[in-house]
Amino acid sequence: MRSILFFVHKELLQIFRNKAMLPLLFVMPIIQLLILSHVATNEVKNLQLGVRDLSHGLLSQRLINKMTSTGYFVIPSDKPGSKLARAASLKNQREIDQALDADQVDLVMIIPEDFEQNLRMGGSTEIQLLVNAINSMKAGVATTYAGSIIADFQKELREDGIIPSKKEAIRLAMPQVEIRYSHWFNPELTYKTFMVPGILALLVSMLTLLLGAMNVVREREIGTIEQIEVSPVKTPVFILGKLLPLLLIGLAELSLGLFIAKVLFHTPMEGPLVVLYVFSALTIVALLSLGLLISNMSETQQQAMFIAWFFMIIFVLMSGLFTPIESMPPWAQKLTYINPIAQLVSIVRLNMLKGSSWAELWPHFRLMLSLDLLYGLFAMAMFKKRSN
Amino acid sequence: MWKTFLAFVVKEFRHILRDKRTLIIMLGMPIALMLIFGYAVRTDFQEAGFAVWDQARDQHSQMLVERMTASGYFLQKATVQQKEEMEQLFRQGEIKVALVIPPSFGEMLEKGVPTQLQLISDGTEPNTATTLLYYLNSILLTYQRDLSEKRFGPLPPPNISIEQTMVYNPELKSTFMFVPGVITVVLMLISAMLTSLSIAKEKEKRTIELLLISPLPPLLIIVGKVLPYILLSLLNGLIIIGMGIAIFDMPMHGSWLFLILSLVLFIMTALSLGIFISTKVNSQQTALFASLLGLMLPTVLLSGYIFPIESMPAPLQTISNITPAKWFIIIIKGIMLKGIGLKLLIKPVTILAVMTFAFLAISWKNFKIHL
Repeated sequence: MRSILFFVHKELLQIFRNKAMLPLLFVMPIIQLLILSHVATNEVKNLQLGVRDLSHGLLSQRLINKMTSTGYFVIPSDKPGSKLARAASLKNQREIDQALDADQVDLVMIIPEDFEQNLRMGGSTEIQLLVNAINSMKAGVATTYAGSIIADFQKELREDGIIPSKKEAIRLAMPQVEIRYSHWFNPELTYKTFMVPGILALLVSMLTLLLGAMNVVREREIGTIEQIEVSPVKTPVFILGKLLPLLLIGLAELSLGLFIAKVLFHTPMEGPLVVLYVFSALTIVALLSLGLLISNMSETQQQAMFIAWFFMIIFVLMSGLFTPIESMPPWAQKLTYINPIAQLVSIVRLNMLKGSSWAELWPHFRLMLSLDLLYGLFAMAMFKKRSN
Repeated sequence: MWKTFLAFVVKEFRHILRDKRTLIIMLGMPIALMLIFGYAVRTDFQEAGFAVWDQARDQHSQMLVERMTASGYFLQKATVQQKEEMEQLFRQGEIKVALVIPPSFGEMLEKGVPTQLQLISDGTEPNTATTLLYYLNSILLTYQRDLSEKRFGPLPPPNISIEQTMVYNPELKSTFMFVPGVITVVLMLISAMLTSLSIAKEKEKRTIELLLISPLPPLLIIVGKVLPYILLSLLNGLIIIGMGIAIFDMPMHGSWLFLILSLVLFIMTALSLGIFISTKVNSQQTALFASLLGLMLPTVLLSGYIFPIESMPAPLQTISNITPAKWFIIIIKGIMLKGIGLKLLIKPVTILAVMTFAFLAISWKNFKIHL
């Protein structure tokens, strides 16, 4: 028992002897939380709108004003003097193509010549929308926004009597069912509330997996592993002594992250923190075992780092942190069961934002315990095989 | 001297080729990433779990639920009787939305009396919530329209119709976003991260002193070290582009020569960054964390390939200008998707070139012949 303590002490000394480590360990979470939480938003706003107004009338102007007053669309010429001002009103097809090619506008609205005339007579008219669809998600959102603004515009004109139409038609077009929305757990739909807990999970996982993967292989590369092999330290003590300090560092990182989340982002912490800590500890054990496994498979730190990175990128991309798990195909959804990062991301969110506790999360705990067992035993077996 | 240099390059190549595991991952990484992005990670929604609290239990409420399921966006997970049950399901993460249908819903609808429906969403996932509510809303609107058409005959057509053209990507494929993204991440990883690690390793093991007292000038030593990585990066870039075109139907409208030249330019930028980092650090671990923080995060996050740049707060938009990945993504999209040439892409190309020279110049100043 005492030898473990000595070992842990030695490990901690060794890790923090590297002067660059301490700042990295503490600066990284702050920067990540600050940057990621601001960056990671899929809200689409400030779309650059180019207009080719052939009608030059009051109604087309009113439509353009309505488009820009929502905040979703911006006309580049809103910033006077900028060289983008030219992009705002496009004179011909060539200018439209150029503005799209040069990324000056995200979408172009073409209002036909007979727009006003036709509408005032109660006839129909067609607006053309050209959307830069390279980012398909953004394009979809842009057309949805534009479509609902134009539909609103039409409703307004009918109600104002500018488009002559029968009272009956207006009444029929009115929805009879009123929909009342409520967003539980996050009524304002604040994006940061969603992202901060996820980033916290990412932070802890990334750090522990990398540290775990680089640790033993470092001793091997420097050659100090032979000294340990000839010392009276037994394998389980060695492994525990290697993993415990990293577990402590991981939990310290979690605490620091939670503190930042509370103070800077006012992230709600609905659930009992002890649930969060226990689950994080279990996840860290699984990740450290994976790290140890990687360490065993590699000859050099460079190799270990590379393999760890490979798995980490796959784990993170398929963790549901940035894209919803529900939209993945079934086989990919099944893979989240063996992905510790996916489990941690979802538990941290459930616990912090919805206050889920032991009872609701029990299936996840059971899963994580079996992952610990699986990865842990595998790492041990590989380790024994190597040292023989 | 050229013979010595050649021998050195061969030695470096052997170092890389001998390390089979790294090599497999180096070539397997782009393929794995492409397959994940192509097949596993999507942003559209399918079969989101929902619960219904149907207090009406009539023909209309059942039809509505049926339509939700038929849309493919929703999958009914439960029928609940009280608020606590719904809360429980949300807490377990089972459902994303819940629909509360009031008693006498169908009756009111038949009579044409305005009625109410309640939609509850899991607000902890704002994007999912707004998207799903939008889908639900349009399902409801269609249902109502069908209902009134059945009763009163066809509704008057809209006065303003919209004709949409999806420029550059008529089928709205997500491929066009991730192919350029995967290239930047993989090239950053190989060119910048591995280079910085490989030089840091020589420093850590003190073998760099042996290299420095060799007859080769320091500049050639660095060139010889990075040359294999340039070739590997180029190979990887071409694998990704090839997969994009062959498997994911990515178009190639521009000039291949221009594309390959800009690929080389970006590799140079990444390498110069890697060399810059390696002059600053002394151990592999520090090099690793510095590259993680300084290269990978900005590449993934600020380059606009996962998250739109224009939605970021102004200071971060400014910072995004110094990430090489952002400019390279503009170039590659311009060439492949829009088919535009150097004339319209002169700005990003110049920026990348200036960055490369700047980093090389600083590294040159920092590079010490004696350790």
